[in-house]
Amino acid sequence: MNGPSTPLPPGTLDELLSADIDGELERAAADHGLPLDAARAAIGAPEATARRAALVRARDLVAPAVPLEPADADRLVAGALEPARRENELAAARRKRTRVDAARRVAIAAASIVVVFGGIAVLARGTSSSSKSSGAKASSASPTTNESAASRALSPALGDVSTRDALRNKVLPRLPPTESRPHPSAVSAPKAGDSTGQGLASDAAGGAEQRAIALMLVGPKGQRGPAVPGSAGSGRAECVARLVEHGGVPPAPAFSGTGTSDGRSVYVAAFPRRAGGYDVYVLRAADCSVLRRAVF
Amino acid sequence: MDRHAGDDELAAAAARGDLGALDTLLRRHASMIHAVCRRVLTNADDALDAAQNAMIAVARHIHTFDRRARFSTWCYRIATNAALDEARRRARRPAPVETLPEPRPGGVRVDDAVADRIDIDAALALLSPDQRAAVALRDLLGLDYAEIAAVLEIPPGTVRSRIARGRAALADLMGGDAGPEGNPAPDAEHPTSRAP
Repeated sequence: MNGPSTPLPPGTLDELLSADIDGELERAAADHGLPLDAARAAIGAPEATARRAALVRARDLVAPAVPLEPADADRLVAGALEPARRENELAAARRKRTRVDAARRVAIAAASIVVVFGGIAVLARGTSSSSKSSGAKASSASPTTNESAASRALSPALGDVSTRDALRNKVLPRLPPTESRPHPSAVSAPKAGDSTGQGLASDAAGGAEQRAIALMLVGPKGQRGPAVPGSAGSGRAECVARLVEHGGVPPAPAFSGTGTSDGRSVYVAAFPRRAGGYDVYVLRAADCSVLRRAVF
Repeated sequence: MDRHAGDDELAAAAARGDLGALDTLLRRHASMIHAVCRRVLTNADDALDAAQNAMIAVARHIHTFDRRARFSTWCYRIATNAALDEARRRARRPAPVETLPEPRPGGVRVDDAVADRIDIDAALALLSPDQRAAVALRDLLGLDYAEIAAVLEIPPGTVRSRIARGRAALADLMGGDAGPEGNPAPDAEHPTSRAP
């Protein structure tokens, strides 16, 4: 602890003097670990008097406020009020917008409710009318169902058709009853077993058209082989189309299907005859050659 | 709003959006806000800029004034911070060439110093902004150390130290401890507690 006999460091003396000028000596002395009497003795020493006076002058140098010109004061106040005024206006605008938004939200909600209930009403009306129409549809669905049954009956998978009876028994149920009527093209039956297809109908007028129609009716199943009779790797549609093109048969078969004959994969195509009944062709799937022809 | 209403009352009205109350409040404290800025910045133009920023901040944040301190203290705190911010911005700018006063062997009379305002600014410019702020809050506004500590958000001991060092630097600049030979202030022998 420093005492009056021990000179204080200049910084400490300045701080004690400055604190004493401001009435804060007691706290300053305590912070420096000095008894108040010792601090008073230190700052009351003759050598500290001049320093104290210098510090007081320094204080008085700072004390006077630099006057603010009235024009500057007006400008400062106006400069501070302007943002405040703008903020007030913005706040008012925000409040107004909030009110408008709230009103708009209410209007939108009301409109949405109207739309929803209107939609529900329309749907309800539509449902009742559709029930009626579905009833009508149901009444008209019976033929469709019957047609589906017929379609199932006309399934193209015939199974084994190695014998004439088997062919008849499997093909005839799939064929509609025929009546004698003219056909657009003449039918010239190919020779059975003519694998080259040269025995097919020679009347090939409109062959391309017939082929296209046959493709549409039979469906684009199977691979398309080369358009020459007897070529290998043809699908059912392709084989039937070739038959139509080269065989002098009507442009569209009444039925075509698949089966086996003596263990070989075959296609069966039935064409209505002008005189009534059907010409049924059994085509070897491997090359579209005609294995058999039968008239039922 | 009555122009003679108290600061707290005016502040409450201003917080409610009363621009008249805000106008009165700002005019009432404009001089001291500017004075603090001028002492901290030691430059007239910078002081006006900082004072403008401070007053805008007062207007903008008036609704946050919670009356825990005097309005003037709250206001000067904003002014001091604005001035210190401006001082930091100024420190990043290229400094103009200034002629600093040479220490006068015989010291200067207080009257001379007050008259020679440029010399005061130049002398204060030798202090750090933190020291200038502490000195200004004490010697210009008359805040006690506890209030200054609250404004600057530093311990009271640091306030005392900054004030003492600031005054000592100014005293050295003016001629050291030539007190008795100079013209000591009338209250030099007595502790001073200036009223705001």
